[in-house]
Amino acid sequence: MDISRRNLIKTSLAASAAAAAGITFGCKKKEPVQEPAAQQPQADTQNNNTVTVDKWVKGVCRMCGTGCSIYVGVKDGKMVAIKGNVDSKTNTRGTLCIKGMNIWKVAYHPDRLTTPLIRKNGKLEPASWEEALTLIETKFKEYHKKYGYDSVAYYGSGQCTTEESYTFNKIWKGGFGSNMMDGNPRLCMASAVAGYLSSLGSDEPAGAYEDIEKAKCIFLTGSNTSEAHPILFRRIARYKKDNPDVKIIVCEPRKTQTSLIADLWMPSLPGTDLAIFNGMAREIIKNNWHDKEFIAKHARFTSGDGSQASTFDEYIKFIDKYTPEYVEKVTGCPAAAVKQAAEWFAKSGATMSLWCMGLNQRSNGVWANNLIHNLHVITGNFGKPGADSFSLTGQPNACGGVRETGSLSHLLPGCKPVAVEPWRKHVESYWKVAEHSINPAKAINPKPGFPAVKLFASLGGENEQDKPVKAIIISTTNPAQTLPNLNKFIPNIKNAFTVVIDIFPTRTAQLASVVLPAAFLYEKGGVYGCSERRSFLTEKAVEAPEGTKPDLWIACQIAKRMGLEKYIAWSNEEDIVKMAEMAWNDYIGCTANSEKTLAGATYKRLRESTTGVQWPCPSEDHPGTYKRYVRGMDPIFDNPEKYGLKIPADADMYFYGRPDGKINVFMRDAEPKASEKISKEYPFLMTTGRVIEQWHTGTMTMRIPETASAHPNSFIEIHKNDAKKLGLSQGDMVKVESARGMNILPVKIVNMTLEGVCFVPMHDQKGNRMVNFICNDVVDATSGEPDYKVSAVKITKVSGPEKVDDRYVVTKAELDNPTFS
Amino acid sequence: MIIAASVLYFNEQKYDEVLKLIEKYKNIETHQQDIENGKIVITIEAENNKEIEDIEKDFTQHEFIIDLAHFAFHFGEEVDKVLSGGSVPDFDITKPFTRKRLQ
Repeated sequence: MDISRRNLIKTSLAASAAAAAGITFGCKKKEPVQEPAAQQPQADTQNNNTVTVDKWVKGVCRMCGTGCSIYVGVKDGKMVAIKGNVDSKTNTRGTLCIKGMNIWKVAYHPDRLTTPLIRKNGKLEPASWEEALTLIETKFKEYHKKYGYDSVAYYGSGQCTTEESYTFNKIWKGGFGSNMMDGNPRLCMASAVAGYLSSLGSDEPAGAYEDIEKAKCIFLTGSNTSEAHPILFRRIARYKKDNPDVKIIVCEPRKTQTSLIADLWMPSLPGTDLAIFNGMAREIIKNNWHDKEFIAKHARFTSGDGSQASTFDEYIKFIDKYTPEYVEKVTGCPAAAVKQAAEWFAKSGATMSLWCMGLNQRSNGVWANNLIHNLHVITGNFGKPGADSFSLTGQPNACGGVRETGSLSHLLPGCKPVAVEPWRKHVESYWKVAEHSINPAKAINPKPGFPAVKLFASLGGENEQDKPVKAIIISTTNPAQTLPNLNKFIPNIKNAFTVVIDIFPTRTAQLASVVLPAAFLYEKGGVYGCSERRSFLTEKAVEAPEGTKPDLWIACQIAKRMGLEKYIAWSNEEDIVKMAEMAWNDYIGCTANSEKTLAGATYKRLRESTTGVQWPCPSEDHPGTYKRYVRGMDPIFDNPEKYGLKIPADADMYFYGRPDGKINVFMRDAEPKASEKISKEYPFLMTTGRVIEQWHTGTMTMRIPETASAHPNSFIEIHKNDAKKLGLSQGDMVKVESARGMNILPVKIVNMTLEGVCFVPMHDQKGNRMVNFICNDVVDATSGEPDYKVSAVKITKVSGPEKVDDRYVVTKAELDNPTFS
Repeated sequence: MIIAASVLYFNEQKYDEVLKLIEKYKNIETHQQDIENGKIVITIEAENNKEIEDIEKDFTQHEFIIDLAHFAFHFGEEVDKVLSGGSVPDFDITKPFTRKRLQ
């Protein structure tokens, strides 16, 4: 690149950065650089700039659940630049993290799959799209006939677009009359969904990210925000730096980077933090810090499953055993920390809780969620700026694409259960199921399908009588690496007729009967909805590589071949962007009368918007909703009858998802009864999680050199005292073994975890470093979410340090030879 | 070659130290500044993102640096290399990883 062009690019990008940072006056440079008038910051903010790019195309980063808004720079039909969106409400000031800035390396990676593959005589061989789709059609029709409509399943992802998930959901639940479809948010978000539904009566947070900068106390629990949501963490850290009086409390087993900004770290042995939450509640009430007025107006005390009403006095009795000293004994968290946290939480004036997989991926994940909501109710920390009980998602479209479209086995669009007859009838009617379904029942099945773990346990070959699910489409996710207790599920995926849609070879693709090469987000476009109820349109920026297809196109081809051409009206559309728009319009029409309405978020509006739209948004002139359940802010209050709800005319705050408008305050025992316990044989508790540079199973991030090099392999973190007892030195190789499976991992000796607790990240694809061979497949009884956070293991030394930084990924050459060792 | 445009947030009392720090790097240029509020826009030319990360690590270890927030990246040259089918060692993950190119 010649110097003048390089200088022009620099000047142009710098102008954008200056605008983002609010610097609007003259520049002062180390070296003089020609600065054309057109490149002034005021003129450049989001406009096309042909010096740098031909066009800037709006989109969302897809590398975590934050929903950072970006612009992709396109020149000569290629992605050549990326910049943050200054207007963004998520990544404020347009800041990007390391994963986001490397997206282009994923798009242009030579490992991209570009040809459909069909397994013939044990080998995946190149095939045409026609051949692959014909095979899928033949098998699906055969299985529908032989084994019934529930024998063919779909397993989606919080990374598919909303249009894609909605279309597959409509095909399965209405077209096939089968609820045998689930998605990977079952493995990460299901407990949050069930927590919101059981406590507040409606899924997803009441507030938004902007509560961060209004909070006086931030309670981070079960979330290593600094690594899993780096841009949000940056927001929190900057806010704390500017407002040192704001209290930050971090409650988790490891003293991670997140704790660096904390005023108080509350350690807890994996699986025990419910005792801390009950203990904080006890302390709050004992000290008279609770909000009596809020409780009187908005709390419903309940025992058991929520059906039985109880009283505040009963609640006080229930939590009485959770004295700070008792909590210290069962959790490892000092009693003084429990007292301090309770005081800050209750007395700050506005407390925001943020949590993630640390609470959700547990055998008692729903209960953990309930107890966080409890704390907010008894302290009145709902419905005011800076006060909210906020679950963070792990994927960019788990909320919008899967929760809101109801693409789980028990839900329908609008996140309402299939078992709820009035809503089921509404969806049946809207979809015209009676007219179009290929299932003779001509109705949506009122019985939920199988949640992920049960679905994969029920998957198998034709000769396996005990496995009723014979075929599955798996899109944009990698269950052969992400399911817990992998030894149990890998044979099932292999034995069934498994279709994998992905952009790269994966562990799951290695087991597939058919592999379909997919288009990447920026090659097709679509809507993502992030943790704060915000839907944002990514527009198609570049053409997809030859041979690849968008998931939506694939869904439509399947629909057509299965006799659902008229039912999926967009299946005959040629242009993927129009296809997506039609799917979106169908979706927002279907959910227009639910509290999750996005009726006002038309495609036109989403195209024009640089901030996206937060539901409820009932009309095009509605700005979207920052805070739910508050009159004057939440549009549901304006016309509750439209949504089948009743809200008293004098109620300023009303939790309308619940029949009485009050939040359930549950009496939840803290003992994790279903979680694995340590024993003489397995004396350590292992927990799992993310590292900042890697995401999910490393399918993308392990192919980005910079992120791969930062964490080229998995490892086990153990406390220095445990290492000493085991005679281990830094880097020694150890066998980490549970009752289910084992890994061979290098040791990382630390002092930031509790003794007896070890940690293994989840991204490594190498067979003997895939931590889910070790993890427990016990699930939360309500949500069906697995307990990845608590496994009892033993650790034994295998050898001294070995070189394992191989940045292993499954290659195309290895698709036929899956070795998991 | 990657070009990053970033905003350096710093303690406004320490402007001279910030300039000294920036001067260490030949591949960094300063652009718009708001000294009163402790903000400088810089551009970094780098072989790859790792080089940018290393600079970030170096910067943020200084007390007077509050944050280095990346805003935009231009990587057109790198994309051309990949699409032209030329050898791009960074992508060849089957070979043992070498940090040479990244340092």
